[in-house]
Amino acid sequence: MNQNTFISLINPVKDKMYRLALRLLISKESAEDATQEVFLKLWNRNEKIKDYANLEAFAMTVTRNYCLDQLKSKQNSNLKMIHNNYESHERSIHDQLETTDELAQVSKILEGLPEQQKIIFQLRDIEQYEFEEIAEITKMKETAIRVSLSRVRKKIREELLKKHSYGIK
Amino acid sequence: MELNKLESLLKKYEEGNTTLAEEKQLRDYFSSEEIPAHLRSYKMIFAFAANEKNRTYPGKPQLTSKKGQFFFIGIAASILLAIGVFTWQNNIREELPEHNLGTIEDPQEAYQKTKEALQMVAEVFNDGREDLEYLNEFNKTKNKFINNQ
Repeated sequence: MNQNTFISLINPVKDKMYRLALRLLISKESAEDATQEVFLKLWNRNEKIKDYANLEAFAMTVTRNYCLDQLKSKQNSNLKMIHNNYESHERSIHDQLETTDELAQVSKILEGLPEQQKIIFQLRDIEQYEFEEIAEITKMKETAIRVSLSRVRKKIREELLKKHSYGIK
Repeated sequence: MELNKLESLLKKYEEGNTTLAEEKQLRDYFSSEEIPAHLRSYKMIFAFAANEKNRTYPGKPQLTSKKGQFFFIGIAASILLAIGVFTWQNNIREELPEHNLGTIEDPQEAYQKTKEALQMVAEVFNDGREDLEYLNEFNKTKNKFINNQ
């Protein structure tokens, strides 16, 4: 596989990879770096990639693993600091929207949840993958994915209700 | 969408049992219609998800490592530095023999020249000693005071 073929294959997936990295690493810089690193990892293994029937799922798996490794490693200690920059930066973009604060709240709630749930929410509710595909990416069983998904959906709503007492009318 | 159907779909959604098609119905509903106040929290979740999906990777995929580039720049710089130091030292070595240090081969002439040089040093030395007369003057004055006491 030459470079151009590889890039044309990876192009449709790159945004999804970046968004998953962003969900886990929170800082934009870290997410960009992570995505770039994963491109390299994939490219260096491109001889083997032919064997992987589904490049997209494989790319997502590598992204997920890479980000989880990053979170475990020492670099993690820097993330909190960058994280604050990210927050203020985000606000300014979101400010153009009416629902800004509320969207930021969802983001905040999600940040506080376990990595596993973040990944599942990202893959299902944002990227809209089928359960089979999520199972392939995360190497989890479908039932476990459904349980995790149910938890994260309920949790986000619960937290939102706590803050706003919507629905109490 | 009818409220009954909506409520049952939302329940299914929370259990993690909706299909992608059903979730699309929900997304469409929450993105377009006026939402009853008690369902606003769902609207936020769907709006958030839609908003997040718009993010795009800002760079272009690059297949050469940035680390690698710096690595090679480092090597190139150290090679240049090594060449620089090497040629500089070579230049110094070459310059030395080029200078005429005035080495004299004939012993007789060398003796003469050495004598001249030493003579010159001695003259200059004596010049310097004349200036030390001031010190003698100082000593005299000092002794005068000491003797007076």
